[in-house]
Amino acid sequence: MSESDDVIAVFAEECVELLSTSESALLQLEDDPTNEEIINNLFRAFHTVKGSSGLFGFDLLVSFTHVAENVLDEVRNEKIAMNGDLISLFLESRDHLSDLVDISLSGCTKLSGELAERDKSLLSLLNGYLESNESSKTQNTEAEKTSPEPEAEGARVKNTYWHISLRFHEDALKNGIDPASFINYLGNLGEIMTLRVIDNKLPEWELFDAENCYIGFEIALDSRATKIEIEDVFDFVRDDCDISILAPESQITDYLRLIDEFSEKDMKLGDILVSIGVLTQQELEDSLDLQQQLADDLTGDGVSERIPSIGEVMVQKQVVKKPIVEAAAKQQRQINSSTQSVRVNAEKLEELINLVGELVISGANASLLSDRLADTGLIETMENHSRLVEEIRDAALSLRMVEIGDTFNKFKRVVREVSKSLEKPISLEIHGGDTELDKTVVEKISDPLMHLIRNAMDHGIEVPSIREAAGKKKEGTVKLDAYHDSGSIVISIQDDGGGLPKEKIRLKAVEKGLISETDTLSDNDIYRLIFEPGFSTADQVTNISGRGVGMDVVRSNIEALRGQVDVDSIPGEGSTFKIRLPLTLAIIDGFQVRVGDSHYIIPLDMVEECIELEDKQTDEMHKSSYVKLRGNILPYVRLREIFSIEERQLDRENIVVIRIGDKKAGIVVDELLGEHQTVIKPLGKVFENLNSISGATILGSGEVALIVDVPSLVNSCTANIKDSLKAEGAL
Amino acid sequence: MMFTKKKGSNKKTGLCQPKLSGDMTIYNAEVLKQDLDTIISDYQNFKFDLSMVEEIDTSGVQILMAFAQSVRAQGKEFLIEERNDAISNALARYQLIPLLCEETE
Repeated sequence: MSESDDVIAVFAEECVELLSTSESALLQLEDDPTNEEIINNLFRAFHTVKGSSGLFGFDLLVSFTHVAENVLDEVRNEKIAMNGDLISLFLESRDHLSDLVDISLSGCTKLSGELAERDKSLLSLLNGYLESNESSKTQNTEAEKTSPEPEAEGARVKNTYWHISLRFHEDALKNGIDPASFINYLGNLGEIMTLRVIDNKLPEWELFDAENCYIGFEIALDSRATKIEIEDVFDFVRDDCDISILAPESQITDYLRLIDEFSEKDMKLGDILVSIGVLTQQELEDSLDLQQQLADDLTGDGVSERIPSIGEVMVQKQVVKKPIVEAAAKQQRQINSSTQSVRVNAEKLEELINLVGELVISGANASLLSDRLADTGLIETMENHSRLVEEIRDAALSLRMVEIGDTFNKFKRVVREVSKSLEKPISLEIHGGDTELDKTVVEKISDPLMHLIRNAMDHGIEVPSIREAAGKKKEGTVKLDAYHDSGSIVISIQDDGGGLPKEKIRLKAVEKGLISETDTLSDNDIYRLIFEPGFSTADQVTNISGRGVGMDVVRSNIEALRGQVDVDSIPGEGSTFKIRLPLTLAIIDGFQVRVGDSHYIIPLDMVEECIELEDKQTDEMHKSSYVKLRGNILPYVRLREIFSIEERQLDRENIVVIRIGDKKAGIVVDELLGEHQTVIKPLGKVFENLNSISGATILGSGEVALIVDVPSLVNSCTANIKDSLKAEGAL
Repeated sequence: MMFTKKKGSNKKTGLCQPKLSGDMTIYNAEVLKQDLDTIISDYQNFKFDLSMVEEIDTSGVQILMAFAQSVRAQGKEFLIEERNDAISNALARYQLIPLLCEETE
């Protein structure tokens, strides 16, 4: 990838973020349409897209965002009110911008077909808002053009063009600034009548550094834009460029000041201004006379050893105007966010985490060797080393953690639109948006969540008339919640609809041959049938859902992330889907155990306690699939049985008590070996579908230890215990 | 970026016909300067062929300006003899076509 491709990639990413910010802002404005901060955020997002697009010459984007930005400017100046219609228009505009970004990046410079039609239609609607404010805006423009600041002394030049002086700093090119981009962008505001490159700073060839910027520009621009619009062109270069913008027919003293500030050694800026038609020769002579006169007034004797600069004279005479660019730059700095962040390539982050993983394994190896040597000093050093590696591990993994709130917020738009199309008023409540999880998990969970939400809205929540008849409020609610639990993240989607139709599901399952008519299933078991392939009890297929290709895909997508999904429902009150996902897919704290000659890892977050079993308990356990632990029933599994490991005479067995949510189970093993930092290595395709194993890791000794898939073991445990208890007549 | 001299280049006659292709941007500005370092002293008449340049930014234009200024200050000649649309657009934007592409008297 060339460097310019890298820059374009950054632009593309920034556009995605800015458009996402815009969408969030618009949805927030629905509840709070006069919120200044949100309106300003929205304005800045469109403004930044416009500015960045201009740098790359993406004129399609510039011309569209320009109009949208103007409307938002009127909104933030309280000349146009933000309301539902305008929000809908801007949401459509945001979507249209997203398409414009895509086609601009593909190199397209002209719109055609549907996109052109949509562009025209949206621009017409946006301009409609502007036209109603046009007369007052024109007045303002006129006022700005002719007297941007309080009148001061001095005649005005006849020049009817804007005059822009640019002096780029030496490091501008190295900082990624290309003056050509700004000049191109300026061309969008009007016609550049003349442009003179100021090259007096270009050194001799031997001293010339090709990466420095030595050139400046004097530009005469014929434009009906306002001063602020022209200043905005240079928003992104204020730190890298000295800028002066003089309105048409500015005062001569303004030009004097320009000459004073921007003249360099051996350069007669005044002559240059005359040569490009900004000043007439007479105006230049008149202004230099004025300078002398003002200087005389100041010194009082008509003869000065040094003619004060026009700047000094102006200050003394209180005629000087605060440089507009300086003020605008100050304002810009105040607006800018104070948080600092660094953009990092995702591949580099992946590489870092892989290396940390290797460090963990290598550290484990070194610890093992130090234990064998039984050198106290070395053992202590290795303990310290392990602690530091753990910290690096956590820090590296945290770089990939993102808040799930961003994903949740995207669903606001979905709920809004689906609610409209179904003609059911439905609101979305979000909790736990600041819960963090691994970026890769967030990206992959978005689609399953979307499907569950759409399902809840389509099938769960009733139409308003039915809700009212049931004594519920007309507006339905979908609640999204996220929280951490036992080393996992739990995401729940709850609706206050009619609940899952238990009998319909049962009949459908019988029809599909999944169960027989005489099978007795618990309510939860019936509800879980909806995750079977091809299952849908929907009477009608809608655009939203009902094709029966959804829930099994949702489950398999979640299981692919080593997660689980479950459902609970109360007839008439609603349903709750709960998704449990690992916090990270890379490195976990593990608890190492041994069965026979094999080593296994149990995720430490799920381990509640470890108990050494007495002989009596072991004998009892051989008879049933549960054990009594402090008076409570604890179902268990034997790893030996699951992995068919040969039984040997043992002194003791141990039971590792694990907990997932409200379910508890025991895993019987031979020996407990303690904590182990576990770098998860994925299983190959051959072993992908094993139920009891979720991955593997490499121990310090170089042996492979398998990572136990605790959730699936717990499920099989609880199923076994029901059978067991039934057989004993306890159920 | 590739830098070559066309066949007509000859130290005896003093004619140099540098041909550039690829990009003339900030990313290879230093390399381009080094390439031009190798010819600036040995020739008196520089006729550039920029018809194969794909992309040029302000740093590329600046290099041409600096080279032209330096050689002309030594009484030598400089001209962009062949150019494509990318070069023409860049130079036209800065109104430099008369300075760099037309014979000076």
